[in-house]
Formats: sequence, C-alpha cells, structure tokens
Amino acid sequence: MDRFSLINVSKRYNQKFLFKDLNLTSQKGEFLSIVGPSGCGKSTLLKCLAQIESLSSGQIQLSDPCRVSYVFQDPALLPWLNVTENIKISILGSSNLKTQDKKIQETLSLVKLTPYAKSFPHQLSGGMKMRVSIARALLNTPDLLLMDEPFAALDETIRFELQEELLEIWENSKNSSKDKQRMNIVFVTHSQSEAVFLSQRVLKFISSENNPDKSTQLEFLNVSLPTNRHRSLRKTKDFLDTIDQLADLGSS
Amino acid sequence: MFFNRIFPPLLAFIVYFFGLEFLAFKGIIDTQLFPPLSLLIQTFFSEENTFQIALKETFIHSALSLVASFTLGLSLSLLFSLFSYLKRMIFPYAIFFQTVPIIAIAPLLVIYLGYGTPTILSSAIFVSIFPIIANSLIGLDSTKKELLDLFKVYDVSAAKTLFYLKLPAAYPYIYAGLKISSGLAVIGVVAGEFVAGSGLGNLIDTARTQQRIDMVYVCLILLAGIGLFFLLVLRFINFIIHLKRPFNLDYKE
Repeated sequence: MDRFSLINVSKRYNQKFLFKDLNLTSQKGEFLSIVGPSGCGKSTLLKCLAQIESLSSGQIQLSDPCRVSYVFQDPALLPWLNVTENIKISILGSSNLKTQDKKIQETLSLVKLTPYAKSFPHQLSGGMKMRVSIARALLNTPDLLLMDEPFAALDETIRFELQEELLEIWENSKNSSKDKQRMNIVFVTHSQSEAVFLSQRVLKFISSENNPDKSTQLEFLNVSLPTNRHRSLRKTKDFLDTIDQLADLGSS
Repeated sequence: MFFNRIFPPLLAFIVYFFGLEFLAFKGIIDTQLFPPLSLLIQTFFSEENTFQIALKETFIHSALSLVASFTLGLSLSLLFSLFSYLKRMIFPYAIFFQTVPIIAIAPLLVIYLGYGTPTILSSAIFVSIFPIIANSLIGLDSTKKELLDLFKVYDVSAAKTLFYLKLPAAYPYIYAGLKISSGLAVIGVVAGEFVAGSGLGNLIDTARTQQRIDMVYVCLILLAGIGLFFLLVLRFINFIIHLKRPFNLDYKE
C-alpha cells in the first residue's frame, strides 16, 4: 500500500524549473529522507506535499485518509502561547478540542516536556523549542509527518539525542495507528549522515543547474542498516560505507 | 533610570520655566503675552471651578472617543482582514477622509448633530480612528508566512486563524496605533469643542476673545496632561498584558 505518489510533478518559478517531472512513491510506514544541494527544491517539494505550495504541473496522490503534519526548520512557535497551547494548534481544526487533554499530556511526556507545559517559548532552549514543534506535529496523530531540516540549527549533542528519539517515536507510532502501520516520515536534510542514520530510503536530488530544461534526476539509496539504531551505529563500518555510497550516488 | 530618563526632560523644564520666570521678573518680557509658571498657577486657582468643569468635560469626551475609536477601528480592521473585498471597497475612502482636516469638517458636524457631545465625539472619532485601522491592518497583514503555513497545514479556519494567530501577532501594531490615537483623540475633541461649545476647547476660544493668554496656557497644560495620562494608562495596560502574555519581546518603551 502506498502512502503517497508523485506523478510527473514540476514546480516552476519565473520560467525556471525548480524540479521537473518528478516521480516518486512511498510505501506506508516508510522513513524517507531527501538530500541534495541548496536550492534544488527539497523544501518546496515538501511544501507541495503538505499542500501549502501549489504544483506547476503533475499530481500528488495521498492515501485516504492521510493526516499530514509539518515540522519547519524554525520551530515556528507562537511567543504568546505556552507550550501546551502551542502544541494544541495542530488540533485547532478538529472539532473535539476539549476531549484531547489526555492525549496532550501523553504527547508532552513523549517528548519529555511535561515539566515545561506552562512555559513560554522564550523560556526554552533551542532543543526544547524543537521538541515543542515535534510534539505539535505528533498531537495531530499524523499518517504523514513532513520534516524540513528540523535539527539543522541545533548543536550536535542535542541533534543526536533528538534523532534517536525521533526513531523511537516513529517505531512506536504503529501502536497508536488504526491500521497498525507506522506513520510515514519525509525528512529533508543537508546532512548525509543524518539521512543514513534515520531513514530506510534516501532520495538524492542531483543538481540540474547545467541542464535546467531537462527533468530532475533522482537517485535512491536503500539503507540496509539494522532497524534498531543507536548512536554507536555511527562508528560502524557499514554506516560509514553507506554514507560513502550516498555521496557517490549520481556523481558518475 | 533617574539620570537617563527623568533628569534630561526635568532639566529642560527647569531651564524653560525658571528662565521665563527670571525674564518676567526682570521686566524683559510682557507677562500678559508670555505668562510665567507662577502666574499660570495663580490663574488656575483663581478660576479653579471653571477649569475643573472644562477639564472633566474634555477628559470624558476624549476617553469616550478613544474607547469608541479603538472598538470601532479594530472591529473594522478584523472585518477588512476577513473580507478583503470589503477592505478594497471602503479603505480608500478612509484614506481620503484622513486627508481632510477635521477643523474643516467640524462645522458640518454641528449642522448634522447640533451643539454638544455627539458632535464632539464624532469629531474626535473621525480623527483618531484612522491610525487604529491603518496600524491594525498592517499588523494583521504582517503575520509571518511560516506561521500562516502552519495554520494552513492543520486546516484551521479563517476565523480561528484570525483569532489565534493574526490578532495576537498584530498586538504591537495595534498598541502603537492606540498610542498615536490617544493624542489625536484629544485634538479631535478640542476641534469639536471649538465649534460645539464645551470643555477646554470652548474655554480656550472664550479666553482668546478676552485676550486672556494666561487662561489659554493653563488650558494647554491641562490638555497636555490629559494626553500624558492616556499614554501612561496605555503603558500600564501594556505592562500588565506583557506579564501575562509575551506578545512582543523585542519591544522596549
């Protein structure tokens, strides 16, 4: 079963294609990362998936139902709302806002924010703010979680910690879904090692700057590392080899 | 705090008033034309009752018109923000009327509304509503795109987006507009009182015909006092709101 399919999708700004004739399918429960050079349209593709940007041509098919959540690079918190109020934004559109208190508590505890439930964003560190942003996305119980370089601005220790937590959340998401499937995650990143550590499959945009009118070239890499991943994995030969493979992809 | 913020204006005050006092004492200036502070205090207490009644009237008119401008201005901005067609229909006229001096319209208001409070309030609202509408609209339109996208992803309705995101994000703009309007409301009230006859505006007009420049000065000081009082009240309200909700952390007064 597919969670989403992109069929010949293109995005054009002022006659210049950002990406052209992309085709991509993601199975239900997949963790897919997207890497590629700056300005190649990774983030725009994510926004098109979230339907906050329109396509120039092509079609996006989402499974039915498909609840979408989005984590921005910036935590995008509302400074006048406390942590609990901020995460509730993702369920503002739903009708049963008041019956969700238990779920809010669970989500806060999942991202270790329970002691900060009443804090305002300016009282939190960068890592904490990102946890709030993730909690907000999770409260919506998404089928498809879109993440746009969420850990790019964080220091390495926090980044590694959040990566492991994210994998754990992704793994456990099958317990809360009706069809016992994990949620899908599409994770845009600059870091090849991050992409390899997190995902089952990495999608690499190959720069099409020299041939702007040709369709965008995509390369895929299946990550055949153990599913249960901890930071010790980074030191293994398999992990480093996979990063090399990803780096070499499309260079020939 | 004292040396940075309070002392400099206090120094200017001392230099000006004591300088004037000195020049008056030496007979260099005509105290009828340039009354020193001591004479103004004398004038105030000799006609205390007249001043008190006029001050009360002007103060009530100004406060009422400021509250009305704020309520009406903000409501209109919210409507404009929700229905952009309405904004395009009405906003150009709001700008047009803003360019017409209130003193030219005030006589018309007397014809339509007669002498007294309705004319005075209309005149003041006419002047003070525009900064609130203009600032609120800029504020409502300047919400970060990323946050708007966020609300869009989660399918939040336009009305909820307005209430939960756009309006709170516009708070600093609305507050800035309110501060401008608090001064303009007093100006509008005085313009209305000139033609509709009451309060400090009327008292200034009467004093002018009697060549009582000292009375005019007392009225001016009282008017400035009303404006200052409004600003202090607004600052206090802003301070209390910020204790509860950090709307704009970069803003320093």
